[in-house]
Amino acid sequence: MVSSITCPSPPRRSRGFEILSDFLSLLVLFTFPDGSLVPSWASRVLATWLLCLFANQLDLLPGEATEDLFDLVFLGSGLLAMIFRYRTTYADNASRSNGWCLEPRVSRVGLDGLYRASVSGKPALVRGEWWGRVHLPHRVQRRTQAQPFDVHHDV
Amino acid sequence: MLRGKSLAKLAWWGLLLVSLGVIILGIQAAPESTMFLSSAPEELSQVDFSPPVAQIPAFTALFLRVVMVAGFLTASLIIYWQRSDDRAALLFSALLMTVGVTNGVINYVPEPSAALKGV
Repeated sequence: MVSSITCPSPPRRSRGFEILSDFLSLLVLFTFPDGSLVPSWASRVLATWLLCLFANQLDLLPGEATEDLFDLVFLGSGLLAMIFRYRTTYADNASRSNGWCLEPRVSRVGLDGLYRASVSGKPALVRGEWWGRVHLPHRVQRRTQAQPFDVHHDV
Repeated sequence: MLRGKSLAKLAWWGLLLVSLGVIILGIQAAPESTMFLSSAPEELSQVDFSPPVAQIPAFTALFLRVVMVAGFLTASLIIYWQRSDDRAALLFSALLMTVGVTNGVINYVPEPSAALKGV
C-alpha cells in the first residue's frame, strides 16, 4: 500500500558498489582524456578521496549539509583537475604540433572565457587577446593578420 | 603474467558480472521499491490512492528504471566493443555501468532488503 512507503536508503552491503561508482567517476575526470594519471601526485589526491568516500558511506560525516558540501567539493575537484591538466600538460603540447591546432584553439577560448570574463567584464575572445597567444596554422595566420592590410584605399 | 590491458579487461568483465548480480538480486525487490515516483515520498504517502491507481505510477517508474539501466549498460557494452584497447574508453565504460546500476537499482532498494540479504 502507498501508506507504507518509506524513503529509500541504500542497503549497507551495496555501499561498496556506490563507492566504486563514485571513485570511477572521479578517476575518469582525473585521467581525462588519455587514461593516464598526470601529474603523479594526482594518485595521492585520488587515494585521499577514496578514504573520504569510505567515511561518507559509513555515515561518519555529520549532517546532510556536510554531505551536500562533500558532493560539491568532490565534483569540483574533478573539474578542477581537468582544467589543471589541460592548462599544464595538454594545451602547450597540442598547440606546438601542427595537427592539433584547431581543438586547443576552441578549448582555450572556452577556458579563457571562463577565467577572464569576471576580471574585465569581457571574455578573451572579445578583447582579441586570444589571437596573439595561440599558434594557428600558417594559412589561418596569414588570413587573420593580412586582412587589415588588404584594404586598398583608392585615392 | 597478465599485462595491464588484459588485467583491465578482466576487471571490466568482473564488474559486469557483479553488476548483473546486483540487477538480478534487485529484481525481487523492484515491485516494492518503485513507488518513489514523487520527489517527496512522505507527501505521496499521505495521499490515499486505491491499489489499482497506485499501480500505474509504480509500473511507469519500474518501466523507466528498466529503460535507464538498459540504456547505461548498452552504452557501456558498445564502448567496450568498439574501444576495448583504449584505457580511457574502458574506464568510461566501467563508469557508465556502475552509474547505471547504482542509480537504477541500488538507490531504490530499501533497507532492509530481503533480496540482498539472501532471505
